[in-house]
Amino acid sequence: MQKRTIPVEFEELKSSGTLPSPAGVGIQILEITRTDEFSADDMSHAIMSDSSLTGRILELANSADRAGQEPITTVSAALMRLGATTVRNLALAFSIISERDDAACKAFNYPQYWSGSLARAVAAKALSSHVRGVSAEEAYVAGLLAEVGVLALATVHSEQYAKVLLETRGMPMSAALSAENEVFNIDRATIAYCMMLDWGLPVGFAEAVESFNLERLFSEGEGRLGSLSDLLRFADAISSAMLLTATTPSRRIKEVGDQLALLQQVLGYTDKETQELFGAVSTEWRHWGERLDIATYEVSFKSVLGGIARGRQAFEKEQSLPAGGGIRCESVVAENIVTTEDVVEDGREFGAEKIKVLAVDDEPVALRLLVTTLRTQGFDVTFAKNGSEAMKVAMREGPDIIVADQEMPEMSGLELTRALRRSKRGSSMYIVLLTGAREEDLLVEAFESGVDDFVQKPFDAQFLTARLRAGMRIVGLQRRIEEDRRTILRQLADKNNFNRRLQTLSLTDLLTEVPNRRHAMERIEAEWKSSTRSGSQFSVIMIDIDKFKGVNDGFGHDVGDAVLKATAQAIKATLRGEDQVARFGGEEFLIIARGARVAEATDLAERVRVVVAENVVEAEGFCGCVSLSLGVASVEQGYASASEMMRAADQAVYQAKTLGRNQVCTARGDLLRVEVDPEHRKTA
Amino acid sequence: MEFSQEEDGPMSQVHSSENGGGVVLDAAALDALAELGGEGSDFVQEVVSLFLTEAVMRVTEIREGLDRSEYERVLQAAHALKSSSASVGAVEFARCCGELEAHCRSGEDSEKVRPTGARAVAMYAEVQEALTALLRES
Repeated sequence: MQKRTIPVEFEELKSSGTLPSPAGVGIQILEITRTDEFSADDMSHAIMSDSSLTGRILELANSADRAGQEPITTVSAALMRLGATTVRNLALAFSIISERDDAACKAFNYPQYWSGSLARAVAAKALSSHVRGVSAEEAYVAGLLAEVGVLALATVHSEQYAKVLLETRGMPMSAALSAENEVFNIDRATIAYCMMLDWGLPVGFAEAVESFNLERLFSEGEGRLGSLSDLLRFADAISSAMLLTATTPSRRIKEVGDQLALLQQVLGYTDKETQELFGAVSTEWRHWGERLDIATYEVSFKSVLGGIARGRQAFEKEQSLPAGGGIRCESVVAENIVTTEDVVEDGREFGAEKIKVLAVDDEPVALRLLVTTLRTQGFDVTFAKNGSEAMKVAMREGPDIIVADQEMPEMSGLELTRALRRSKRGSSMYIVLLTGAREEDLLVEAFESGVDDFVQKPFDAQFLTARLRAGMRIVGLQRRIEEDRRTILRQLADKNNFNRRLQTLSLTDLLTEVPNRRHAMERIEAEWKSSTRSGSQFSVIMIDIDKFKGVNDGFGHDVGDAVLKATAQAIKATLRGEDQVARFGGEEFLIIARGARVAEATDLAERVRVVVAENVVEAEGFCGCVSLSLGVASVEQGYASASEMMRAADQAVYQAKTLGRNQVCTARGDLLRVEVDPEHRKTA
Repeated sequence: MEFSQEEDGPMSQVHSSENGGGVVLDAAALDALAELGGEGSDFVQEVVSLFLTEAVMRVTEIREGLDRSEYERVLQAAHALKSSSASVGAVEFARCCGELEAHCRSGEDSEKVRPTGARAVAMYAEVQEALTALLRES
């Protein structure tokens, strides 16, 4: 499967620095696994440094239906059972989730996005046994990341994309894709594809996700679940069914209903079995939701069916209405999910940002006053009556600031602070405690626990506001630093990648595309060292194209180049897996034959000689063959150094030329005198 | 105790006593409350009602705590009442609650706690009456 060129529009998205991406340990893992020969140990190490990541991977590894197998309790065991690539992909996916930034676009419903993606992941996993060649973990990752293109657009181009989403709401997928291409010159499918490749996921995987984004519905003609993209389609239908809301367009509801009916048909499930499938998916969804801090809720199959039925009815009615008559149907399965429409109808302008404050006090009058005071001062306020409620609200709403009374019976302001600081979301919130006059003793303890500021009660409204705004300035700075850090890390990763490519380029001969002299010399040094250490064998075969100058002079340099390229390829094709050919000079090549003693190397050289001698090169005005003079030298012959061995090989080439060209000569080592086999002599 | 009308501020219905009983409700605090709520809003009523509902429970707590010598209960209730009553203008009462809290906290002899507690309970009756009247008038 060929990798396509990455469109420049994607590179532009990347350069924004705000694309959703793995961070922290995820970046490390990306780095470690950039090439196929990555060290599983290094990756293991990186994963183990993050205990929650480790936990999640192990949990997923153990949750697949593998009857009779031992539970997996270590990362190494997971690596063995699932393979390094799968573990890697899981680590990346979890890293992306845990580092997600739900505030990047005000009008995009991130919680709903992640709830849906998680449901799709779990559904895909549940269905994976029906598709050959797709593992449960692979299905899970695919389900989770399938709509990452949408996420990218929402995060990088929040306002514009919010408009696109609103305008195409309720329309088939193709409308959204067209709109995306029109506005951004790239669509969610291509973005998803590029992102998958960027994260080192396999091409087939990326293609399946792309295909799903281009065509969301499973088509009847298929008759069976044949591929990962089919799996995604059905998983998506299940996920959508679980997340029907009051504002899901009836057209979509009918679509989902039809897909589910089709699923039942394709799988050959009875109603009961479908219900069980739903039950299993929703239970696992709830479970993972808690682990990953993603909102989920109880779903009953009955309510899903009811919702779909009502949706269908609404759709029928709508069909008979004049154009533009939409019906808001009572199809609520998900009652707590804020939809995109609700968020926009808030009245908040795109881009206008009110600072969000969470007010906490167990005393109702005080709470009321605090809330009103803050609102009057222009903050966007939510509230909680005690510490545990505050925790829940904080995780859900993601306030910028928390103003809490210190003295609360069940959980003090200080204890609340500690609890918040333990979570990732909570560590960046600005926390102010309201204290009574006596509480100076706890100041030091409080600052150490992560409190940002104190205000004494009774407080003056303007004073409190001034302190909060000052705090926000610092928070703003902190956030910018955090963003810069992410950008720098990303750029570093890019730079490393670029350097690696540059490195490879500087070691490759541009014309023939084989390693260049520098690379060859490095290899030889390395091989020599290895041989000295462990006694391993290797040989070098120096090669010179006969009468090359004549070709250049007689037919021109273009022909000369063509001859060089063709010869390089011909040599390369003759090599064994452990051998390498490099362009050593103008018309010189060098083969490094690992593990080969004199005899083997000489045989190889002879094979190469014959292949090239019979290889017809066609170029402008030229149609013919060239021949090679080859010199073989081997470690077996007991040279004192690598350069001595090289010199010997060189001399052997010279000898081959003297003896008439188009032949192989073996160097005469100090300890071993190898007669040039008369068989190997051929007159030119 | 006698009550006379004060003409200052929008809260012209403030009841106060000139005869040594101290002002029951402080005009300034109620003004501040009104300002916070904004023009023509029910904010003051809302907060006062809220206070009255809460306060009844707290004062009961104080009484029972005193009866059973469970001073922790008295402490918590007094602490809560202290700030909330100040917000609705019952500053004297608030001060008394503050004293009560301090006595409980210092672990001193119950000698000071009981009389202060009794005083607070008695004061509350007046506060309750004043605030209820306030609600009726608006």
